[in-house]
Amino acid sequence: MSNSWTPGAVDALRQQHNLPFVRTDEQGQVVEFNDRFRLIYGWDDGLVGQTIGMILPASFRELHHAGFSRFKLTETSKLVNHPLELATICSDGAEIRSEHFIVAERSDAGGWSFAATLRPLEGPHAC
Amino acid sequence: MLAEDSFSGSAEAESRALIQQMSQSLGLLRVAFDSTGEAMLILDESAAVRWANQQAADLWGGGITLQMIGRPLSALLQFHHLDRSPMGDEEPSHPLQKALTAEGRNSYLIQALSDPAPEETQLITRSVSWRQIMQIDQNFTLLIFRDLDPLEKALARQRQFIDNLAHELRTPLAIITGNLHRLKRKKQFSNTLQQSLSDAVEETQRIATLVDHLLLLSELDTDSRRWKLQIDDLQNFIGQWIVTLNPESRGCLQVIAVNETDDYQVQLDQDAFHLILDNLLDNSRRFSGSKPLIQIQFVQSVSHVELKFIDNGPGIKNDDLCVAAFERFTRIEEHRNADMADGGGLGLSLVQSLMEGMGGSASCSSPDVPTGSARLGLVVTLQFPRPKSSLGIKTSVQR
Repeated sequence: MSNSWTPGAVDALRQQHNLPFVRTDEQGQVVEFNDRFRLIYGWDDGLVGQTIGMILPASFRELHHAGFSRFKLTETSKLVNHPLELATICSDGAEIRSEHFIVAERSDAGGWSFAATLRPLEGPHAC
Repeated sequence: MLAEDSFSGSAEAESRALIQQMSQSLGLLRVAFDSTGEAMLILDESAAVRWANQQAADLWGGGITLQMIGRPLSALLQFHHLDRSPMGDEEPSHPLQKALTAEGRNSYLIQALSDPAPEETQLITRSVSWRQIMQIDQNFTLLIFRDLDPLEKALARQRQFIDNLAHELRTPLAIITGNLHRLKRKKQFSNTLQQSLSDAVEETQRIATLVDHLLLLSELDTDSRRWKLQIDDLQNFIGQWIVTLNPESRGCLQVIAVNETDDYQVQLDQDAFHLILDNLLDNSRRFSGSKPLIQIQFVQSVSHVELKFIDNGPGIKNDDLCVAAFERFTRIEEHRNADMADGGGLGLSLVQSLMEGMGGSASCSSPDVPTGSARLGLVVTLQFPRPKSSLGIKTSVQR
């Protein structure tokens, strides 16, 4: 199980301007996303402060919440640092097959931050 | 206003604390489930994965539980019989088919389909248990896969030994039977000797039947029987069995459909069905004296079709003995009779195992006669599940 966290991993993803990017705090609540994410998936600033589960299909949410809660206990996860073919829910409820690349990073204050690029694999913005 | 704000703030804080506690509980449960040596899957009604633990993901999901969600079980793994032949999703011995009727457990060989070259993948043996999780709006099936424990491995070896032994006994028994028949044809033997030869032939035949039953039970126990399931009206299956009988046996039978307009479509293996009826007929004829009378009745319900096999023998006096009658080598003491040819002691066990193998069940009872204490006649009830495919279409499903 992966437990090595790369310093600066979140910022490295943030710099990939051609890909939708979203970041959450250690509670799993959205704190920022980029324009690409806004354009492709249609979410507006109302998403900030909401759980990241909002952009996941309902069938994934159970394992997402359980995995997130487990991470807080064990600080280990198999999901980070490699591409996962999943799906992303748009603001209008549509589902777009997408490749998620998730990273985790501990801040100097000790709290965790999670970020992901969500490369669309279908639709007009597929890349 | 201030008091309201304060109340709402306190309620929000309580909700947050509750969510945090639930989140922690969820995390702890997840850690526990991922720490077991057993692989666990929860499937929805379409047999797609709803939930998986880490062991399951390591075996069939490339290590990532999340990537198993929504995928059909049949895309992740393939069940095989213990003789290594692949098991169809609709076969009665498939865990998901078995889970439709009752919870249970059996051993299977399993092939992971997520590997790059599935044909080269090693089959692993797992004890698989299944149970239905009934929800108000949806049903799920829990499958738990675990490695065989030493006792189960010993049991598997013992079954293999019985299987080998029965195979080895078949040939010498056939030779003995042949020689006894040749001797019986010799005219120079006295009547006493002829009688002894007849007894020897009868006993050898009984041992040969016992060996055949043992082999069949071993096949059923190890789930290596090849089922050939067909869908048709139960009355047609009965008709096909009756034409195989001699006139004397046919004369004992009376077939009654409770309601001519009822639908008796079932899915069964005809060879197995004939074996079941042969055993029931043999049983009834041995216990029903010189004038056996057997009624075969059909009863339909929403989920299954029942066949009642009713004889005019002594029946079984209490419910415990009705259960015991299906155990192997059980003989009901009150039925022991020096004048009566002894059965192998496996007939009803075989009936039950064959029925369960086809997804059905077998039970017996002896209804009270109106006058009270005594019971007459044994009623064996065979329960067949209704086929899932469209009714009225005659099909043959060979597996």
